[in-house]
Amino acid sequence: MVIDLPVYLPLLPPLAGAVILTATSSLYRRRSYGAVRWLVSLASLLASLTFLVLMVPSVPASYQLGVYGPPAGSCLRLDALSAFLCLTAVAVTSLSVAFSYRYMEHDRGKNRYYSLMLLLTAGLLGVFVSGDLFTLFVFWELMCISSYALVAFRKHEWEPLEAGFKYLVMSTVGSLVALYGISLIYGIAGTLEISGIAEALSGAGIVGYFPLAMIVTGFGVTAAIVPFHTWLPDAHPAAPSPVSAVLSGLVIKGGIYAIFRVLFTGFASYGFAVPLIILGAATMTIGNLMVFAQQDIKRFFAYSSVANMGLILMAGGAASRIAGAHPADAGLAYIAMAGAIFHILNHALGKSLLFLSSGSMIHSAGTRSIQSLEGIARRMPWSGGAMAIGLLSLAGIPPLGGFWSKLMVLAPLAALLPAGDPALAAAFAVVLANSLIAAGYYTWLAQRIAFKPAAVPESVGEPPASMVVPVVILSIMCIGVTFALPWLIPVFEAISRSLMGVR
Amino acid sequence: MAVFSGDWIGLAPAWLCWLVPFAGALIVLALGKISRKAMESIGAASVAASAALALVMATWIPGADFPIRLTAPWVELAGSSGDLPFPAIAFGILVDPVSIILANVVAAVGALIMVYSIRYMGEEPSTTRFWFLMDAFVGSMLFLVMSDNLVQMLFGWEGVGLCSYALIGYWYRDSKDPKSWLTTWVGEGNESYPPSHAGMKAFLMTRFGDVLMIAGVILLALSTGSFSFLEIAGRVGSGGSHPLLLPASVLILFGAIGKSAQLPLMEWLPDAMTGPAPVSALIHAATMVKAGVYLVARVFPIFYIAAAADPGLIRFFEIAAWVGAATAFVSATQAAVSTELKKVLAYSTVSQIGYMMLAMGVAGTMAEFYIGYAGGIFHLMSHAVFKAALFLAAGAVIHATGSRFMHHMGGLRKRMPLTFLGVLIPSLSLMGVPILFSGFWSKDMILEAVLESGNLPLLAVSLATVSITCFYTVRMVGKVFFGSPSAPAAAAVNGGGADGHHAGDPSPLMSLPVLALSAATIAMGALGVYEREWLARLLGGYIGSLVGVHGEIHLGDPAAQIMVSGASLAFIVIGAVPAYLIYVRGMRIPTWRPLRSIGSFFANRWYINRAYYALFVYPVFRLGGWIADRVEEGALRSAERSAQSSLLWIVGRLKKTHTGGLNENLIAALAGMILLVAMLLLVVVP
Repeated sequence: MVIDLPVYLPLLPPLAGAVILTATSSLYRRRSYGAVRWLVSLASLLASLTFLVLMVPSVPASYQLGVYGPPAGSCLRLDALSAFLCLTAVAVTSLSVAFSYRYMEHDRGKNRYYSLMLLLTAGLLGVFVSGDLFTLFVFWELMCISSYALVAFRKHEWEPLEAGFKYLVMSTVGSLVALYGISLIYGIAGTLEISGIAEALSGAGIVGYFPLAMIVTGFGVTAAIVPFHTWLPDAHPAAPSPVSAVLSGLVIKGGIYAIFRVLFTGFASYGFAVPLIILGAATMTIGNLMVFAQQDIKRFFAYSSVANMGLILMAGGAASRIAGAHPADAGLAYIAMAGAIFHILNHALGKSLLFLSSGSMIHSAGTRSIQSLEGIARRMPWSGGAMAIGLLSLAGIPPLGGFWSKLMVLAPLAALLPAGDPALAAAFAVVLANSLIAAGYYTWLAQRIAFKPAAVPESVGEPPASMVVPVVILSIMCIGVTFALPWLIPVFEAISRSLMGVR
Repeated sequence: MAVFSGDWIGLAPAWLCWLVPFAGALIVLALGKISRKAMESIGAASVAASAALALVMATWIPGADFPIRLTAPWVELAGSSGDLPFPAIAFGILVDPVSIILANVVAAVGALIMVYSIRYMGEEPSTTRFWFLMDAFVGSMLFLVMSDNLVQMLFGWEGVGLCSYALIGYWYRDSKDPKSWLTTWVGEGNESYPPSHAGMKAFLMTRFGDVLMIAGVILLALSTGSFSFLEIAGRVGSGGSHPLLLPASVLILFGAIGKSAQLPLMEWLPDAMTGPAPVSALIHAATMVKAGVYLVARVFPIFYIAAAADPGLIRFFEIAAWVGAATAFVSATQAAVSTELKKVLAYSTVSQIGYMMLAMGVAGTMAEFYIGYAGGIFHLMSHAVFKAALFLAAGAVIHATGSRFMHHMGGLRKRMPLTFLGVLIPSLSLMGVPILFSGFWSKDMILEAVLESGNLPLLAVSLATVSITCFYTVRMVGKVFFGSPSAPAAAAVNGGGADGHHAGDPSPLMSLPVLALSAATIAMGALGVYEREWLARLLGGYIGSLVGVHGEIHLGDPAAQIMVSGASLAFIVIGAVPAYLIYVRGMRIPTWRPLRSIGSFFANRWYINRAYYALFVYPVFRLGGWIADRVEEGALRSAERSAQSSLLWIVGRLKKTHTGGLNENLIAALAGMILLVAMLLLVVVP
């Protein structure tokens, strides 16, 4: 049974929830209403999730907003990639919100917190379903502005305030650059509908590279591509842990999604593969190396997010390179792209798991220093065990999820080594070296967390169940990905075909 | 008299007999924490039950049409049907006279030993492990015996090896205090080994043979297209000889050599005496070490048929015969100088298994194979009974004196009369004293086979070994039971020591199994003349039907029999009399220098053990130490350090670019965009 639901429907519950929470905030000031707010936000997210699940059979679907038709009007499109990212986003946000109840229980202004989380989710979903660049930009700003506010949520502390301000400035500059790029595209193409840009741009020649660079730069700030990444290691650790989980797990994926969508669909006739490979290589390498300098567990994870974004970007660039330079092996390009998309899932699950479980540890132990958290898994077996699973998955240890996505990125590159393409060979070497480095520091952290003598006092124990359960669910999902491989891989391959298929 | 139907239900004893001890092992594990008595009862009862099942199988012998084989599909490889040369593996049981005899020996002797163990192990802590492993051992051994193919047999084969390893190292704490050293260690000087070391040694040495054996099994399967004993035997005769058969046979023989502790893999068994006495009796005398002989008996028809087609395969039997004879001689000389009671028995076990191997070997070289074949099986049976009795009695003696050294014993004849009887009767059987003792009949049958085969050097070696056997047996009995009591032993026996309650004969539960086994020895000896004929006809007829030799079974001419009996009697006297004079009568003989150096050569185990350690053990330790020092601590560690420091150097430099200043970050972002544009225009566009 296919129910024909309008594409905007999943966006409505979080928006409505945010409005309700804000509108009623003056009525229920007492702290005890925290549970009500929590339930309202959780319910709106679950409603959104339900709509999404119901809509899965009807993809691809599109919706024309307002009275104007193309090229001027707004449109929403829900294709396989959008649906996959929306589902991931709502699932991870729901778990983070569920985790927030006890984590944030001593904070003031929880109505703002939850409504910002809902707005962030709505913005994220909007970005994923936008069919034209104007709509995308509107939702983009919704997402970014709620992110700034969430990073600086604990405004009485200096660190979040500074980090939030930095994020605000950097990201706004990025948004403006992207906006400028979008305006250039409109100027050249006369349309903002992403699927329509390609045709109009194909004859534009060199001029088209300027908006391309601006899109990569502008969205690249949010996607934390080196050298636009500098805000992330400050902002992600400064935010409350559930927010860090959403930011690192999802929001930066919004950036990479926007880049992939605009480039692969709109700039299909332009060559951007090698710059993406170079940026990806730089992002991976610098992100991975900077991890070693970190003493703070959340900064550790933040830099590893940078590195993982590099891998995804690199896989996209490699896929584009294979499709462009080796058309006979286009199948391998789809696998590489499917690896990138799969890695988005693995990193979303793994990194939000890591931030949430580290949140539990910080909540219980009151410190973010890795040194002081050594051996804490002895005191917190559930959270610590879940964290170990997340670390091993992102380390690419078989048979966990991260192994398969890295394999899907590496395998096509390895298969094309005999072709003698220097860009792909270099990409292979960089990905392999970085995977080894990453495996090294993730397992090292897992060892420190799990096997060192406990550095925290005896009194430190497991947090409340509402914080343990989401973490455990995420760790089960990290393992479950492996069992779902036979179903997931065809899906990812179909997504990557539809993303790259316009060529 | 076939009172059974030939299906899985009708043949239930053939698979229940190993299933019951396995189940017993699991129940023992469960009962260990609940009730010691219940655990011991179940442990012993499960083996007794399988002895009863084995006895049921024995009643099939007169009437059934052997071989009876039942199979079920087990492992079928994709290419089994013909693409690959690798055959399918069936799960099957093979019921024939050989497996029935072996099952009866294993289960019946095992049951008596288990009864003995109840009291013997009574004071030990953590006996759950003992009972579990003993039951698992009996299960594995019977599984091995009843297997119809080589792969399935290997499972039992490795199972018994594992239990053997764990039971040799039963006292795995390797306690060095004098009391434990005197009872649980083995050897003196720099050939003294703790239990865990002995267990590992046994495991590794037998594993060496097993690896070769597995290669042989694979070669045999590749060359004949089956793993099943009967199928291989059926195929090997047709279609000429296969070039892989000889290497396969020799490799399989190595498995037997390892398990049965023959040269060159005999060194593990003497050191396996660190295990408790019931373990030595059951595993390292009566049953497991016979698995090698059993394996040769199992593959005997295969290579006998193959040798008819290709005389080159006679070499397999010649090698087996010479290995057996050489082992019999070498280990008998070592037994003659050994200072430890159980080690004398261990060397003697090795030596007696050498006789069995010799019998199987010479059987393959002649047309009247049944004399040798039946002789080997007969000696296997009689040796299982009398050696088990000897080990159990030795366990009682060591228990009483608190020492494994014979010079701590002496004069025990009066104090432990029942134990003395339980040593004397099996000893006479071991020596092969005529008429009343089973060892006489079985050993003479082997000697007869050697004579019939016409291989005089082999006959000479085996007759010389008879002398040495008698020498060390009488020496052992003399040193332990005659002469004057030596100090520590006297203290214990006179009730002066802390272990005063050990003085004298052990409790009936320990004495009875010893006496039962001694009585069985005499019974088998008294019926020996019928027994040898029965065995020759049974096995000769059965194996003859497999290998296609259907002739009259005649047990050699009387002249040869009398010659062999006379010769062996003479050699018994040659060996026994000097030992009697020296060790029983206490006659002092002048020490003669060459004799002493020969003795020390024997006592040093012919330097074989030392050579193995020097060649294989110490070099590996040295190599390990070198790798630890130079490679791990040296090269790898320094590479690790330099990788670490260079990474940290890079990270340190990189960190400086991450100032965190907003201005610089924005400038970097801007520069990045310009670079990106430049990259697009300069790299992509051209």
